[in-house]
Amino acid sequence: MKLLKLKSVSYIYKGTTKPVLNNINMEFKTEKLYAITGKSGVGKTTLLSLISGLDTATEGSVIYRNEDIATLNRDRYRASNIGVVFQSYNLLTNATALDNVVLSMNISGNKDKTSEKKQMALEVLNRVGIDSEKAKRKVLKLSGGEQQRVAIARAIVHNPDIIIADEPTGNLDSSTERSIMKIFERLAHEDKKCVIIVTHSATAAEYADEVFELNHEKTHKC
Amino acid sequence: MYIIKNSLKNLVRNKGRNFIILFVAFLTLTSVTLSFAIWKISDSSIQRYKDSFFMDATIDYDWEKLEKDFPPTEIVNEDGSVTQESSFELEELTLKDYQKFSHSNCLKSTQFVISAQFASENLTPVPNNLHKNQEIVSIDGMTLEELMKFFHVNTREEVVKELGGETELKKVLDTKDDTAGSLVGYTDISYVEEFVNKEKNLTQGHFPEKDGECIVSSKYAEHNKLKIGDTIEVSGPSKSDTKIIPLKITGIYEASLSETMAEAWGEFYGSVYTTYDTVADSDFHWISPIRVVFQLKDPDSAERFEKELYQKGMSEYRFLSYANEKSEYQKNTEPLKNISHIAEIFTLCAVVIGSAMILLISLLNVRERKYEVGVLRAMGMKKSAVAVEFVFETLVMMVVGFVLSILASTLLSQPIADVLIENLNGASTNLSPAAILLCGLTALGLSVISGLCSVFTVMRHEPMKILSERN
Repeated sequence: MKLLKLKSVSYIYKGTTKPVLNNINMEFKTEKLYAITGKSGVGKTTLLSLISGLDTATEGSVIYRNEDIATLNRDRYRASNIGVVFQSYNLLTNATALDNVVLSMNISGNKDKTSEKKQMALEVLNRVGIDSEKAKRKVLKLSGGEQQRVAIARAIVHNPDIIIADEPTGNLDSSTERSIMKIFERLAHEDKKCVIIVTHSATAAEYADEVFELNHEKTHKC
Repeated sequence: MYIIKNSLKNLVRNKGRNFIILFVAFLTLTSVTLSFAIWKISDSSIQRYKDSFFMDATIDYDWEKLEKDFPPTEIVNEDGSVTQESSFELEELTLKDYQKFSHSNCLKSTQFVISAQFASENLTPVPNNLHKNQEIVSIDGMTLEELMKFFHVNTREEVVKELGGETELKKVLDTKDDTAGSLVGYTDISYVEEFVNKEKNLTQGHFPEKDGECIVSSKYAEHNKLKIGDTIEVSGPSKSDTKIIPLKITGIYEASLSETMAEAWGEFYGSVYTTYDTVADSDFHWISPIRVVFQLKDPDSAERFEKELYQKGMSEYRFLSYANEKSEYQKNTEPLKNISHIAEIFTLCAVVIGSAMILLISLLNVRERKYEVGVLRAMGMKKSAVAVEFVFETLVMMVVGFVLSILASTLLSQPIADVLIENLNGASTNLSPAAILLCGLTALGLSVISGLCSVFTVMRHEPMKILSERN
């Protein structure tokens, strides 16, 4: 099912004249894992910002379920419809892993009891490989791979349609990379999500159902 | 609700940063509260001293000016001796004059001792023991002819001269021939000199507590067969005074008079003491002011009051005479005024410096907070929710700071005030509601400063920009 469509999207950073993204057209469906690859500076992360509603296209539109996200309440869109795994995780470092995940549920408007939310957060953390003991640790006291898993748990806990991840395996060893990519694969194929990852890693790209290569001239499916 | 819970969690998570803010807020609020308390204690000590400082003033003759403007004339007597005679005649101030003068904003109060002779059908004056073998002749009620005969003179002018003035003649001619004593009205017994000097002492009963009560001398009571609880009826001394005033006797006094004093007419008749209002409202003719003391609000009012008296018609040959010195007042209040002034400046400095420090810390925190803003906004939290969360955190810290500073100020205000102000005159060092209110308002002000920094950060930056800058 078509979920997201990029229609003639261009983006120019303020103070510059050359577009970082130029007339991009893409379509994303549920139950699929997409990989966006390309050299540094071609606008992969910018593209994810536009898809996640953290920024708006200079030209063109990002269509989510037949609606331009520019016309949607983008706070609500981010809180409920999309989960973002940032390259540098962007977790609240002084808070515990559990608190980070529960906070995401709260922001999405989950009205369950706190104890139920905690239970659910623990389950999600367990699914991505964080046990209960580690879940109660402050994020700063977790390894890079564990922080990555917490970031994934935070991105999926509110059950969004789209999960996007920016270089999710960039800082990880190959074994951890594989286990993380398996999580994304499962999310797409078992949980029927639309998963979009930006990556340089050929190993990570191998897990994708579809790969888009981005360059300054054009974007093409591999 | 989760916003509030998250705020409270944040307070604990970021305890290092929050402790610094709380510490600065506590220092600021305590300094503000303490200095304000000291300021108010100093002011109240000055006020208490002012209230207890009696700047008593009376109206006196300016003899120097009188002698300069009206030099006395020398009269050579038949035996060749020379006497000096004053060439001026100044009318006595009447009760009405004094009452007019007493209506002034410069005065705390006015103490009156006034007197009027009275007549009575049932009362007679006590015979003077010193003159018991002599016939007592009273000039009250005499006609002009009788007075001329009494003084062995031939003209009215000579009688006026003998009596000491035209008013005195009118008084004698108008006075009833059956005066039985003098009625003395006072506002405060401590201004009646004969009782202050212990020439008269209350031996039975009590002083008049309300209008229509009086005390009499033991001799007067014995002579007229009076006792405590009896009511005497008196009327004014003038032939036109018909109103009868009943006075209930509440006390008896003993008079230990010197021979000279006993010879005085007033003592011969016997004085009946009552309240000022009883006499002032009696409509008696010939009520004389015996002693009128103006109690000034403070020494600073003296000059203004004197000016006011001249404007109200006081003669230039009279002036205000003071019972105590202005310098004494200044000596006692000047250090307190200085402390008050310093405390006032310190309060303002504490507010300004504290606010500046909170602002500085808040600005330094912005970088850390900016990251939080970025993360929360990227997760979809609304700008307003993030702002509420941050402002709530600040408010909680300021409330804690407020409570701690009130506790500390309560404990410290007494010893600090003791050191700074040697003589507190019993002034209370408890924190006033105004000091607590100021502390609360300062806490609120600091919250606003700190909160605005956070809100400004939340409103100004886009999440992606914050996170990309950070990363």
